[in-house]
Amino acid sequence: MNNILRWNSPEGLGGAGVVYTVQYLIYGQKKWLNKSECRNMNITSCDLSCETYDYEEQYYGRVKAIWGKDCSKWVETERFNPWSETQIGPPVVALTPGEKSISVILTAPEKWKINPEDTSVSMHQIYPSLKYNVSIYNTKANKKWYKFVTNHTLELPQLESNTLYCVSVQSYVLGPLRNSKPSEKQCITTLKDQTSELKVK
Amino acid sequence: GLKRLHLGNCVLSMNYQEMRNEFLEIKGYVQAEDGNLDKRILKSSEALQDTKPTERCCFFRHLLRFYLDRVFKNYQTTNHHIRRKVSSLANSFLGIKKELRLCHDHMICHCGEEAKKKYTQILSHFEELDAQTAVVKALGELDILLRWIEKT
Repeated sequence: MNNILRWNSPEGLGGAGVVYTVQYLIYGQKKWLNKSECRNMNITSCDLSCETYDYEEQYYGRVKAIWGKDCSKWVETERFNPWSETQIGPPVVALTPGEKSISVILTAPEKWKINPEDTSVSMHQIYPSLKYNVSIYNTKANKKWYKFVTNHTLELPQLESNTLYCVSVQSYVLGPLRNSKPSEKQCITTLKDQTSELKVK
Repeated sequence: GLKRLHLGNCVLSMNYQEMRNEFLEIKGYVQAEDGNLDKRILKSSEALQDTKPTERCCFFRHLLRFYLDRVFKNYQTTNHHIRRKVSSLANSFLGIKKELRLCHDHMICHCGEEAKKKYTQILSHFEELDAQTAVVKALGELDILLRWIEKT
């Protein structure tokens, strides 16, 4: 829910000497509000995450260009609904190897925070139907498969011992369907098969 | 995509996901027609999920009837795709209304003061605007109603 308003500089001016001013509106309220950090600035984006923090409201943003004594009309966004339009992040993934299994523990991504010290809000609280698509790759057999998971733990059974497996996980939410980027690929080797070790001795 | 909606003792299931996806197809078009950004019909103060459980069924019935009789029926557009989507949404609402009828017949859809008061508020927000403006705005706020349903 890190919501950034972006726009293109006006054609024909090449962006030189053009500054921009941004306002935002909470749908249903009377006044357009200023974003003080985004007044007469020369970059073409403005972070409205604080202003759109309440994801139960809906918002509009608008921007105008000023160059010299001239200024453009306001240009408005569509109605923005943070709850149904935010992009979901991947979960945090923790792997624990067994002999012929791997335990996967997933931690849902967190909502963007105004201050780093603020209490974390898990995206699972906001999207109770948050699900995960786990991809598992056996590097020795060059075989990949997927598992769809609704809760936060997953046991991958019937694996080969002493084998390197790589796991990557996507979060996804319905209504509308949104997939996160896959999490960073994590690889781990299953433990050696203890029984065969004993026979050898 | 079926969602079970708990309205006090009345429990029904609805194709919530399908309705949300259909609304997404008309959202940009319909909300762009709404020029009154400072007005809102479905306000948080009248949210379904914050209504007493025993009166949610009645309030929801009012909302369904409102959308069927005052919004879908009166929405005009020359865009065939939009019109098809709106009538598909209307059919979904009709299906839900039929299911709710059963709860009403089994006397578990009690109408009390709160349901009446909230519905009256919504109607007054709607009637502050001229007819076609109000219809467009109410249709554009369908995602607010869908969010109320999601949270109920």
